Amino acid sequence: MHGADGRPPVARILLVEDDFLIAMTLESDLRDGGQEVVGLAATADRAVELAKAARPDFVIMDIRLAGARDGVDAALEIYRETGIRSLFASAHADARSRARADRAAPLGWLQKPYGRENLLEAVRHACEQLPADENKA
Amino acid sequence: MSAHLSSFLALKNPEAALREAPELIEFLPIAIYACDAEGRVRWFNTRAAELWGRHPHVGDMAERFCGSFKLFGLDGSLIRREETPMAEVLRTGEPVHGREATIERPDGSNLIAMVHIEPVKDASGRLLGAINCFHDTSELHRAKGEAAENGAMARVAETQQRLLLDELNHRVKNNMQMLHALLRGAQRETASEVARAVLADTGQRVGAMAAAQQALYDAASPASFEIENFMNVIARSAQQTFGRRTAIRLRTVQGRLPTDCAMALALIINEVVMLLVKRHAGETPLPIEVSMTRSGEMLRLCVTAQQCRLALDAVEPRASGLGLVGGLAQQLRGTLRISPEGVCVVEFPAPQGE
Repeated sequence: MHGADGRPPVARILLVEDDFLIAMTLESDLRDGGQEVVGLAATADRAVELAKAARPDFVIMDIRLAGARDGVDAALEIYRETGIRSLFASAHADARSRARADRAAPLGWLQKPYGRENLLEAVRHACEQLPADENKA
Repeated sequence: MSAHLSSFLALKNPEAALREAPELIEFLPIAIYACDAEGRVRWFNTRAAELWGRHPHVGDMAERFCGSFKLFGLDGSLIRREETPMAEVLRTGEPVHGREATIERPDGSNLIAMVHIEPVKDASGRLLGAINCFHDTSELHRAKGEAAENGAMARVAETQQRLLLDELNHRVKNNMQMLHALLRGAQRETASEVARAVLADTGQRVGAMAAAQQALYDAASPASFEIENFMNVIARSAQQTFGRRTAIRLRTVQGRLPTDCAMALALIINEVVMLLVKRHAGETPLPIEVSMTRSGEMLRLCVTAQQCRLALDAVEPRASGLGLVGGLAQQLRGTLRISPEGVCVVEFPAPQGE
């Protein structure tokens, strides 16, 4: 997935984050950075539902979510059912979570706290890993 | 000990030793008994009767091989008389040492005993019988069981402690992300360019503190951290923060520093890198070298960019820039100077953490 004329690629991104303040900032930073946010979910079930409906290019997935299931569960189900991959964001991703998440072919890991630059760089890196799609430029 | 004992008892006159109990057996701190070649108990001492909880009938074919009421393996399986270690020695002519079994007494109590059995042979090698020395190892087993239980409890405590630390690390960093989000929100809403810049810088400082927090969490000791690992984490965080605007190269000594140096060091590195990146006008990434070297009892942190020189103004703000770096250097009981080449140098004593 590459942007035209050297411009950064525009990706359609689903945000999965249960903390309002963080979600709000994440959404604003992505939009300021020229990316498209197609939905916001706070639980694993809602994330799966939105991923199936909106078909984003990828998901920015928090590990700890409201509800019984965590972000790794959600990412695994989304990848299994739609092939959509996740860029994980977490304050503390232990080795076990990372090992579980491996089966969802992660696009990367963002360590909280991350700033706008980190976020957009990680998004750029994620876009580079996705297959080229001329319509996305 | 038992092999020597049975040799002493048997060698001079083995037949007599089996026929009649030597007097000294009552003075031994161990249970002992003898069987003839057919397995009949020939004699035993008081300690043996205490451990068995009974007095077997000497010479009785019905009580061959062992004076115990019942005998069990440590797995709880019943050991029949013909399967006892004594029966085995009389069958094979080979000694048995260190084997354990559970003796059940007629009153239902039980104990674990370890046996040492030596065959008794005459001068021609003919097997005449065997002598069994045995002792109570129940306490040892209880202690082992307790130790295993304590070990299991310690492992559970360790796991719980790790979970608690993971949780704390998560909360600290998640709160930092929320703080970062608040700063970003304020930055977005303010109309003032100056306020926006100050809020952005503060957000980056929070990021540096988070990197230090992660490095301390990963450190093996709560009192100190490994300099090389720490510097790598901080440099990597700064590189991520400033992205393509800089290319940071790190050179560092090895050793350890006390934990309370961590935040100051992380903030110093972040602040100087931030200053250099801001002053860099070029399109290409600014190469910055961060180095930590040793000079006698002092550590020297240098942050250098060939293309961008720093200079101390007459009046520096205290909460940001080189004013902040100077204050943090003092916190490390060190000094800040800007070299004639425009390099930021912070020297501070290498404290006890090393």
